[in-house]
Amino acid sequence: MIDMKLLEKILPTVEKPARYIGGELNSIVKEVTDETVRFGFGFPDVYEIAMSHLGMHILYNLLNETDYIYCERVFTPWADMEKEMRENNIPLYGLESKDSIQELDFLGFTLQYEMSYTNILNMIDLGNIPVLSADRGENDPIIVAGGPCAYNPEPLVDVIDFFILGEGEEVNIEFIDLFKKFREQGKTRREYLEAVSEIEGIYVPSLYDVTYKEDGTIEEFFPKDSKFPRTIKKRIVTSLDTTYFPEKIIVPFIEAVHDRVMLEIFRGCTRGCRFCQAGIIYRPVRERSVETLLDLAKKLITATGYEEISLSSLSTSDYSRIEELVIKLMDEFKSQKIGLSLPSLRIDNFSIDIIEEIQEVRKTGLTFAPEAGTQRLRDVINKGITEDDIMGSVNDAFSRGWSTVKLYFMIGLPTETHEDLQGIKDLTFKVKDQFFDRPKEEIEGDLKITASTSCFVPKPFTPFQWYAQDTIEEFDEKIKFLKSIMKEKKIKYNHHDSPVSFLEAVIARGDRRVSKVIVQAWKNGCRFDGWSEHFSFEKWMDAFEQTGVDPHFYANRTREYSEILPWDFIDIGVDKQYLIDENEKSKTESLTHDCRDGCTNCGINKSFGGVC
Amino acid sequence: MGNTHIRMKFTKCNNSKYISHLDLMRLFQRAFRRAGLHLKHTEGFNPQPKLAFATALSLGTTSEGEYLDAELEEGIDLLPFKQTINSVLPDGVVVLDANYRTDKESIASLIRYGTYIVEVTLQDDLSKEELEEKFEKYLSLEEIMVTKKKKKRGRMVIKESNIRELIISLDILMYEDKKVTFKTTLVTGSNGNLKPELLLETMERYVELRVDERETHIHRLDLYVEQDGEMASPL
Repeated sequence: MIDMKLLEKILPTVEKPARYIGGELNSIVKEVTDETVRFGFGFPDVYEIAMSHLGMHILYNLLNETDYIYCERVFTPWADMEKEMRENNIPLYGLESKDSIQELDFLGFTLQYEMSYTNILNMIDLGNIPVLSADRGENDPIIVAGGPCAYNPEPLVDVIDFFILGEGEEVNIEFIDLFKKFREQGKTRREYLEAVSEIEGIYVPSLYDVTYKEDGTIEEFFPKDSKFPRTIKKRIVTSLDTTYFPEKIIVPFIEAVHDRVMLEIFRGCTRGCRFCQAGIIYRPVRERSVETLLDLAKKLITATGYEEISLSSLSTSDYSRIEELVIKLMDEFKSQKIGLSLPSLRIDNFSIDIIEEIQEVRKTGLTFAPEAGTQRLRDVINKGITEDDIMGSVNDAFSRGWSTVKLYFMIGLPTETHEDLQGIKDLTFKVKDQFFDRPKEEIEGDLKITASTSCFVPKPFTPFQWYAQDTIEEFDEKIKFLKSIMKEKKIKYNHHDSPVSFLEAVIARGDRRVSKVIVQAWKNGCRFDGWSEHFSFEKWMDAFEQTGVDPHFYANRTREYSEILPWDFIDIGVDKQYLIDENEKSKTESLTHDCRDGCTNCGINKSFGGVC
Repeated sequence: MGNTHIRMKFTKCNNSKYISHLDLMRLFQRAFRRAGLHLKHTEGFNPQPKLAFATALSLGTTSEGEYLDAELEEGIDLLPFKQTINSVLPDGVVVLDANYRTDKESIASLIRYGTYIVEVTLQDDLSKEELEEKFEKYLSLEEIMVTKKKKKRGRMVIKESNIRELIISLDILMYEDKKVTFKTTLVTGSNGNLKPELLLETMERYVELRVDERETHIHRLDLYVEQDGEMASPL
């Protein structure tokens, strides 16, 4: 255990000390025996963000269901706490046991966004564990990673011992079981890593090698020995009704970003937006039944006392029995003053009915995501909504008393022209006109429109994975143009900063060579890159320079279909040919229908044997 | 069945000392729901549960004398109430006692005094006599001035005040190896409020009692109302 007296001394001097104490309601402390396999669930961000992550709550409770597994939480200390820990020689510790993470058997990170990677390195280092996988010995924890960004694991191969691809509910238990067996038999770390590579869904990067062509693209990706699998197939759970979901979750002492009961209603998405990685990697769609959800909601409310339930999925209104679910949840919980929130809702007349039903008195803002300013570009990305859809919903919302609207757009989408940027302005102003083009007596409230643009980042396993991202200069030109035309006192224009999106693009589609850059960036002092107060573009650019890696090769280069992509060895169940076809269709602005209306042959059903 | 208006005394010890005032409000709200005790809510656009604390406690300060008023939808007897609520509260927060509220005034407006145990480590190696002298000298002062910065209509206004009258008592309990433990009663609440932290700050300024900030522990023993000119329990 770390020096608790010392910890007591430094805690009053840091911001929000409750981030570092554990002991919350429903947290699990176990006794460590010779049998125990100790697993640290690492979330590479600050407590309030980490505690908002549903996957953490699921895996934490699932692993702790097994007697011999002791799963605890390991989050990134904020800069003030890191400074105190380093000055006082307090290693990073598990929130449950207060033992140094050095004492754990596994440290497992979830990769939710690229800009959290330097935090991973920093956390490992704060535990006095060698940051590079190659430098770790028999007594160091085995460092693993999973989550959506693990679908391109290559930029972290120097750091992570193995990756878990796909849903972790089953596979985590399998590799921990194997570890226990191997430990009892006195086998080495190397022997374990080789054996674990046989479990489906696990990728051990040290068992593979890559050669490159002169132009820098990949010549070959191959296992060092033919006994290791050539492709790694992601793991899925087939039924959400029979899959584990916790009946109690930790209730933080301090407010987390999402501080409520989170009910996962389904996984996957059928829409097929061509920019969206989640829409591909989480296929197939699997729903939890209304009955299971109601039962879980009751148990979770009893166990936590939360005052709010939120429905979690990629597109809430696509749940096939959404109306029935909302009505039943309202019936059950309204009298107890428990609120219901529905994020990721596609706004249409039907969903406005639902929102009105659950919000009753207070009308918070409505969020629309047209993504692109013109119909042509919305067709390119297969967004599948028309301006009439948007204006119809906006009109409906205004007439029911809403006056705050948020609009989300992306800039730098494939084939985007000046006209499309102009379209962002036109659509935003149309929404404004819609508000005022009504009889005076019908106008309620004070109109506030927030239009935000983010910079498009092409992601692996999307139809746009071959596409060159706009340069920082191009993005900034576009942002400048939008700023100049979005001038209107009812409209607030926000934009994401292009340097961060550029780095995201480099890492998202990076190969093994990018791994060196991340290590160097961390050495240069990069951490909390997703937080503007900590982000330093300069330090990152220094890291590229120091390692001799050209970031533009990854961000701003168009790939040929014939090129071997760094993530090609991963089988996500969706055919590469499907992605190529979708990319080709985007060029002719042709739409692909929602696959709930008939299979679009993406390959997932074949790959996992009749899952949808 | 019992009454619906309950006043309780609770502790805030161990890890719960790092919970802020606002977070403590949420903690109790959720604890009541877990216990199946329905709180009354305010009317209006944004119904809020009827829970009211006596005074805020600084982050990091422990206490065995915090007070909370709650209004329930249904009446409950005090013994089962205490048992039920304690079964769902996290470590360090324990309801010590509960009573029905008889007065109409909010608990916050009733509180007059707070008693604290303060443990400090001196930076200087003083003899017992020297230490006692400093305390005596401090208490003999007629004016102990503090400045408060306040924003008034957008401008920063510096307000000076004399806190001497807010110190009711100050007694050394123990002195050993540079560690001083003292007990103090300070005016606390909406009609004047002195925090022990400010007391320490002025002791340094007026009588050069220098302490190691990182070794300071403040513990609130209890809060008091005034009844017939005497300090009395809020319950």
